This record gives sequence, structure tokens and C-alpha cells, in this order.
Amino acid sequence: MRDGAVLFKALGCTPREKEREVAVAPGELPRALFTLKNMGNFILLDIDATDRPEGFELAWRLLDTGGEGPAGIFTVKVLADRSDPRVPSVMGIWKAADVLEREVWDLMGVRFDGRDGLKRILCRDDFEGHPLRKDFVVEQPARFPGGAEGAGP
Amino acid sequence: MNDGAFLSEVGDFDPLETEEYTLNLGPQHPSTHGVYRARLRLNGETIVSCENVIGYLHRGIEKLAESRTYAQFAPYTARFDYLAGALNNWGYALAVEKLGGIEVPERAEYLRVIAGELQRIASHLVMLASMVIDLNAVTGWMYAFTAREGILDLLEALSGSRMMLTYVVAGGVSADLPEEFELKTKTALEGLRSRLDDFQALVSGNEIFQSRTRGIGVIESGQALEYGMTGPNLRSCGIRLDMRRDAPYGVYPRMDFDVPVLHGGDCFDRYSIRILEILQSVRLVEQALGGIPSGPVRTKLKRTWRPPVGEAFAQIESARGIQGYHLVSDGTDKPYRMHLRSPSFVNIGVLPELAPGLTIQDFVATLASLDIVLGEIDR
Amino acid sequence: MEVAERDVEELKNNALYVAFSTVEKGLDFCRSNSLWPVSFGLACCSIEMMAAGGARYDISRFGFEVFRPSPRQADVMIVAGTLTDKMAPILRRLYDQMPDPKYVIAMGGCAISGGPFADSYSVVKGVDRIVPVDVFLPGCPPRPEALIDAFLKLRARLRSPALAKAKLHA
Repeated sequence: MRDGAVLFKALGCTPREKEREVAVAPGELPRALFTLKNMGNFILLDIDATDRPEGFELAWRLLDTGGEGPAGIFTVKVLADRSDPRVPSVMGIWKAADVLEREVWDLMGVRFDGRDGLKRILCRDDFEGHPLRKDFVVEQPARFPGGAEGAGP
Repeated sequence: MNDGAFLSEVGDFDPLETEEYTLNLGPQHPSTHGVYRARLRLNGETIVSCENVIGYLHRGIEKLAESRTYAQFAPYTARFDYLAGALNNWGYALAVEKLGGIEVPERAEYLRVIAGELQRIASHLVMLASMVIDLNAVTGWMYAFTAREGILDLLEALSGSRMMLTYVVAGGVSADLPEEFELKTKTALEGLRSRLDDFQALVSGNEIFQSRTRGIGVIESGQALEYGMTGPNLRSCGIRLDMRRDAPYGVYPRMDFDVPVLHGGDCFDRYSIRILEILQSVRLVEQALGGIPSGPVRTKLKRTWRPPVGEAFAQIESARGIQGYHLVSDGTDKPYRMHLRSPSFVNIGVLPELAPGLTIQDFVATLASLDIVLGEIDR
Repeated sequence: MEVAERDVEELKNNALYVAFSTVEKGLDFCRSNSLWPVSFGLACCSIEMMAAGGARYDISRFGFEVFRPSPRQADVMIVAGTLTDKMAPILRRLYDQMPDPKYVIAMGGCAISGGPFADSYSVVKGVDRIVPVDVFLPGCPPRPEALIDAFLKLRARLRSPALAKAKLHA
């Protein structure tokens, strides 16, 4: 993997505390990923979303196979506003993003602008709600026998 | 016969009216890949367009993880990619260890390699079996499944379960080697080699098999990288990328093994590369057994163990590609978020681009050669 | 006179019933030796179902190895794996397409009750909410021998329901 400093310089970002992670504003996402792709030796592994108190934190995980030494992960993060979670789609940059973005829309409810065919992929077509959100509560939570710590929600 | 001359003699001749029609391949179909559905638009037998429809096995495991403790969730990981249980366990264990800063004893690392590589062999055998039965070579399926039984016996001796292992856990492995394991393994691997020879003699050189798989479903290396493909599918397109070599974990740096690469990118190469990988896994198991040090097999965690607040992402080379686990901790005993990076989920993204132009039978061969598992696609 | 005619009618009907039910019993005996499953593997249990069809466990010795892709040619449906909401209508449709007499084996914890995923938002808590089940086979996954045992229980039930019930509750 390449040195984090090199990648940050190419992106024109200030590094976060973490060595191989950078946060960008939603509008800057396509430019950042395009820059990284043009540097070569990156594979888009995953697009992930976490429902944090401050909003939806999305992460684009790239596998960096360039440079010396072992390959490593480089993560680009975007914080999407909770009231209207939207980020630009990067399907035009990496085709792998197609199914990954649909999954994030389906399970977390974050919209991806600038692409066709953003529809559910895992849940039923008529499913209501976005299950991985913290406010999506399952009717019958798990019940474990005994009162042991960590048993049940 | 010159059709043009004949037709002009006959006179006004309406050509056959054809129309395209939509056919569902799945979700219940004899091909043994699980509940995958392809909406195919067909012109005769040729595919015009293909749409993946998945989610028929969506069990919501990522949401369930948020109401299970880290230890309670470990058995669920084997249900993701149910053909490679020990490898799933390993990825999850790595993520928990990264999150919590847990050390793993050296003996446990060797045992992980043994379990992981045996599991890889079993998984590849299922791929070979289901691919050949899709092409109607039923005896090949029998041979491969019988070969797999020998490996499952070893996994059962190690962990107690044939398929759904929870053998690799955070901190090490759950149990030490049973009695006479080295002898059992030696016998089983010899049996595997001879059965694999039988299988290859039956299938690989067969004229029908070759014409059904050579040059079919060719994936270019650039295309594979665009679609984020990893694992044997990528290595059969000429890209040498294997996490055991390129981002090694455990004791893989000490092991001597090759990463086979083929360059055709067709179904036959995807089939052959898995046979080559089985042979490399056999090497790894033998090396690990030969060099295993003594010592404890697990760093026991206290019952009240909690990871610190933070997040971790760990990836391994699973039988299907790079499998990654993302864990977010809020300091409690249950994960705040658990996400699986599934290699099969990303791999099927290539099918809508690959399918047009293929006939239905070629599509079946291509789908089989991609080796997908719906448990990990749908989670 | 009319009463006697009615009695004769009744006797004739009873005789027909006895004749047909004996034929049906004979057919049931034949069916019990040759149950054709429809391949309906959903998840992990399907792999153990396939292993049961393999050379080591060999359900072929009992006559059950002929997996039919089409439900219209099958006798028994082995629901092997987790049933999700998305898949449930398809399960029902396939069950309806099977001709009578038909049987269902719910294989594995997930098919019986939802199993480890029972509290999920997308899992049906047991296949018997959708189709009637004849044999519940617990396990996660059940071993191939357990699947053979389930088949044998179904076979015993086919041959002589009363005897099978008595044996079970003995």
C-alpha cells in the first residue's frame, strides 16, 4: 500500500487521526474517488453505512495494492445529513458501486443521486422502512433464557 | 441450398415473427446455487438482457448482530458463506481482535491455517461438484461430494460440526487437535488426491465439458477489476491478488505456497483454478501440521469483556474472494454495527454485462463457475 | 322394500369404499418406497440434503434420490433452510403445484420455527405458517443421517399411520 501522506496530498485533504482514512463533504466524493482511481491500483471493495447519532456515516473502502509492502485498505468517509440523506453516486467511476449503493439505499435509506435504478435489492419490493436504521425496531426482539448478562436486547 | 433463390421462387414469404420474452431463472431451480433469480430477456435461446434479483434469503443478520453479544454472534458467521464456515469465523475473529486488541497464541494461528485451508478445499469441491452437475455430469458430482466427505470428517474431528463450525473464535480457536489428527489428515489428503485425479480424468478432458466451458463467459481482467471482483474469479483473469500473499494475516508469511493464476477468464479457467487451489491448500495443511508449535490454543476473554469504543475492518481471503468484516463498537457488549463485505455479492454485479449474447446453457455454466453462495449475498 | 333398497345401496357404497381404500393403501405402500423430492434447498441445510444424496449417505437405497426440479412431478417437498418473506409466496405456489398426495418435511431449525433468525424482520417463523408440514426435522444443520431418519418416519406414516403414531408415542 502507498503511504497515507501521498494519498492525502493527491486528494488535497487534511488527514484525520486515522492514518488511512479521509473524510470529505458529500459533493466532493466523486472527485475524490476519481482522483484515487486514476492513481491506479485501487479496487472498490465495499460501500458501508452506519447510523450514528450525528448522521449517516458512509464509508467507501478501497483496497490499495500499489506501492511497496502489503496491500491495505484506504477509506473515504462521508457524513450524510439525517433529515435528507443524499450522496452522489459513483457508479460511473466504479461499476462495482451499482449493487453496493442499492444495498445501502435498501437497508439504510441513503439516496444516491445521479444514477438510474436505485431500488431495493435485498428486502421485499413492498417492504416499508429501512431496517438497519436505529429507529427501525423489530416487533419481537430476541429472548434468551436465564438472566445472564448480555442476554437479550 | 441457396435460401435466397428458394425464397424468391416461393414468392411473398413472411419471415417467422419472433418476439422477445422474459424468463425467470430461479429462485427455485435445479442448479444448486441457492435462491438466486435472474430475469432474463430472451430472443429464442439467446439472452438479450439479464437482471439479478436477489434477497430471497435475506435474513437480516446484520440487524440481528446488534442484539447479540460478540460471542453470541460468532456462530452466525458460519451461516453467511455456509460452504466455508471456518473462513467466515476467521474474518469475524480478526475483526473482533482488531477492535479489542486481543493477542492470539502461535499454536492457534497454525490451527487456524489448518481449519481454514481444509474448509477451502471442501468449499472448492462443492463448486466443482455443482458446476459439473449443472452441465449434467452427475458422476462428477458424486465423486467430488464423496471426496468432500473425507475433509468434512477432519473438520468434524476438529470442531464437532461438519459444516457450521464455530472453530475460529476471537482469541484463538475453540479446541485443540484431537487424537491422531495428523494420521487421519495424512490418510484423508491421500484419499483426496486420488479422488481428485479420478475426477479430473472423468471431467477435465471430456470433449463435451470442454466445449461447454472453453471460451464461455470470458471476463476481461479490466472488467473484473471494475466490478470489484476478487478471489479465484479474478485470478483466472490474470490478476495475481490473494490476501494470504498480498495482505497476509496469521502465519501465512511463514508458509510456502503458490498463488495460481490463469489468463483465459473463461469458465474452464475458473474451474481449473479451483483445482489448482485445492492442491495448494493441501500443501498448506501439511506444512501447518508439520510446523505447529506447542502452547495454548486460546486467549480466554473474561465474561465481562467489552471492546473499547471504536471500529475495525478486517479482511481475509475466503474461498470466494475478499471477505471483510466491519465492526463498530460503542463500548457495550454488543456490536453497534456489523457489516459483511461479501465477495459473492460484488461478483454477481458482472452478470448483467456478461450475460447478453450468451445462450441459456452458457449462462448456467457461467453462473456455476462464478461460485456464488446466497447466504453471503443476501445475508 | 324401499328400506331394503337403501341398505343395498349402502352396502354397495361401503364395498366400493373398502375396495378403493385397499387400492389406495397399496398405492401408498408403493409411494412410500419411491418418494420423489422437489429440489427446494433454500440455505445451508440444502448442502446437507445434497450430501444425503451423495455416495456416503445415499438416500438412493430407499428410493428417494430422484430430485425433481419441477414440483408437478414430485411427492415430497423438503424445505431445507430459512424461509424469508420474499420467498414465502413462491413456497406456497410450488406447494400448490405439487399433485396430491404430497408431503412436506421441514428440515432444520429455520424451517421449523425461524431458528436462530426467528427475531429477524424478514424471516417467516416456521414453514408451517405457509404449508402443512408432515415431519419436523431439527438440527442446524441436521446431519444427513437425520434427514434419512425423517424420510423413514414419513415412510412409516405413509404405510400405516396408526402404527406410526403408536410407535412414536410409545
